Amino acid sequence: MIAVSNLTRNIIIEKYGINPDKVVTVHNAVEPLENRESLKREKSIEDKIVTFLGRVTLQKGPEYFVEAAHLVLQKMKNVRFVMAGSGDMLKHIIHRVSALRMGDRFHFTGFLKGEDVFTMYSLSDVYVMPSVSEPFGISPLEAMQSNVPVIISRQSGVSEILEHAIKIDFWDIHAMADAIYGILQYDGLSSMLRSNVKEEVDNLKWENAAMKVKEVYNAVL
Amino acid sequence: MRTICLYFQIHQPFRLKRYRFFNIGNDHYYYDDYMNESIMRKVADRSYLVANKVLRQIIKEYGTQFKVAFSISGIALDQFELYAPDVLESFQKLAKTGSVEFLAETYSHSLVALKDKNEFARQVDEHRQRIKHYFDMEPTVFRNTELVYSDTIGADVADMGFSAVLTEGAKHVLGWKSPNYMYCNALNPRLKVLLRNFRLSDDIAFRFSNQAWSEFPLTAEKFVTWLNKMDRKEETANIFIDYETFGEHQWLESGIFDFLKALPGAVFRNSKFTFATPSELVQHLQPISSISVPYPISWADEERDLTAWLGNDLQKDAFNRLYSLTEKVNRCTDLRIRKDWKYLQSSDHFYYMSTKFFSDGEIHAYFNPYESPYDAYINYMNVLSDFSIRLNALVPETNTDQEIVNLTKVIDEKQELIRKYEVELKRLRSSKAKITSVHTIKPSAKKAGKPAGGKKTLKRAKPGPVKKVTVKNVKKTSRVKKNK
Repeated sequence: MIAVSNLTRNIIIEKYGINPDKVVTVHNAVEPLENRESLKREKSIEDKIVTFLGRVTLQKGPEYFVEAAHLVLQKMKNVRFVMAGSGDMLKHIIHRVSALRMGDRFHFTGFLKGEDVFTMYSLSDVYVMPSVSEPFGISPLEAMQSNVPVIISRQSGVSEILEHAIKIDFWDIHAMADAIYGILQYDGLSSMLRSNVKEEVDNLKWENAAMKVKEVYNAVL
Repeated sequence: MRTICLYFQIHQPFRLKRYRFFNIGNDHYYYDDYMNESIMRKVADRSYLVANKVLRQIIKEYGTQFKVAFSISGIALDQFELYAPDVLESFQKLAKTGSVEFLAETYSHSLVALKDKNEFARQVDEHRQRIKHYFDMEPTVFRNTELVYSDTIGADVADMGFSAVLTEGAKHVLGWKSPNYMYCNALNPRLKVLLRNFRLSDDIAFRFSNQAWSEFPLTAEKFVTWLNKMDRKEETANIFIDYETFGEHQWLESGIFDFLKALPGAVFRNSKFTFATPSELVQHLQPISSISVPYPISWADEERDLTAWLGNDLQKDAFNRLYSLTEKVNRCTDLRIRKDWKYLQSSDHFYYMSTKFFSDGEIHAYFNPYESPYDAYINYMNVLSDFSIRLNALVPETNTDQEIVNLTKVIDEKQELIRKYEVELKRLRSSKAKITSVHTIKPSAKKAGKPAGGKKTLKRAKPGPVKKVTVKNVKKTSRVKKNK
């Protein structure tokens, strides 16, 4: 049995009672991006942009993103938050945003697809994935392909393989806010992350994952 | 005469607490007291106190034949005073035996030598005073933080009046040369350079309890045979290690204390080596040549360079941001600012931001309070932001303007004083004139005498209150200056 992360592997072992020897982890990879340059768009505003991109559902932890945004906005003004995606929690989130009186700084794009997704990444200064539970989570890797620093929850499979990412617990809105603030405010951090994320993500190739699957297959034969 | 020069390094930083950006501007206390105290207490009990006890026994047995040198950072001394006064006391006892020498370093265990000569000298001087205060000794030999050294740092150290400096016997600096001689600085030959024999030092510091090591287990006797194998002409074996090696890096159970206990006896029995402190080496040895170190070296990692502290963007940014405040801090007299300034400079803060951590984890993770270098950087920068806000409040941005305001205030006050004195002088003169006139017209003395006498007492009484007023004024001006 092949799991996409140790997180999933543990669930398989603990919740389904499968013999650990039978479960192997092979992490996901990401498709290299062609002609990325054409997707780049000039930013029309000077403010920094912090992005959440994904289904707006309980599992993705969008409400933690909203609370963290609220904290950040108390300390700095030249920043905007974007929630891209739709889902059953969207109404609830919009209510919360308006209740916190930060509608002028918090934007919703609705569901994005195709090139719009990459355009969104290229406009972002930080990408946040606060998932409550995520077997793997490929979206941070796509953000990293566009040279965007990422903040990911420890409760995601992808956090097992990334070094040049800031990892937080999804419920720890203070840590999340602090990380967002740090990346936006301290040049050393954003430049350090920017110079490393691309290289790190480019080393995650499907070929390597395929090789591992082949190894597993051969071992079973 | 061939010598062993034992030197132990002691330092513990004030680790920062988790400091979120919401704290900026609200919370001005940066340190994790609980962590600092518990680490200091743990190391004191497991390492410092036990090792000191062993050294006292050795000195009791061999007297001043046995010699050892220490360098204790000012911050470690501060922590001893706060959390482990018994350690301080035990070092003071050692200091009285006459077998122990204390070396000078920067108060903060900082990397300021790479940045600012004046601030460097100030910190070294502060540390020197500390050592004098606790141990009644004037250090004459210098060691820089983590043995960081270059030709120019050496020249600066010579300017401060030190006779010698300790550094790493780095391979890429020495080439075919041996670390077992005394060298001198390339720019100022009066400064002697003592080089660490990293093989012998690391045999004790890193490999001692490594069971995979071909020489395991290491005994004092075996160590002495290695010393004897040194070339006959070689003069000194410089063993420079962290004091935490005893009991902390190498546990009690590994037998490291027994090794230390047995070493002097084995040396005296089986070899012609003697023990010497760095300052004694300077007196007895002649430098064999100068050594050129154009780029800074240190004793860290395989590369023996600065990359553990200033290797990546995070570290460089934080380091430059910190030292951009130097000038402002120097104009600030606030005691808490001065103290935080010292504690924030510890090289450890930059060490925690090292991304070598990913590959070279083990040593870098030692007592590291952070989960990742990014974490360490964000936390440090938040603290630094708050620190500079406080600093800016005390030392206004447009400082020349402020200076002018201050000075004009002082001048105004002085002018006011001068005016007062002039009035006073006039009055005194006129009263004097009256007295003399009284004296010349003797016959009317009885009648005029009384008012004259009254004036006289006035004359004597006046200078008093006037002086008091001036004192008050001066005090006020200085207070005003401080507040600004």
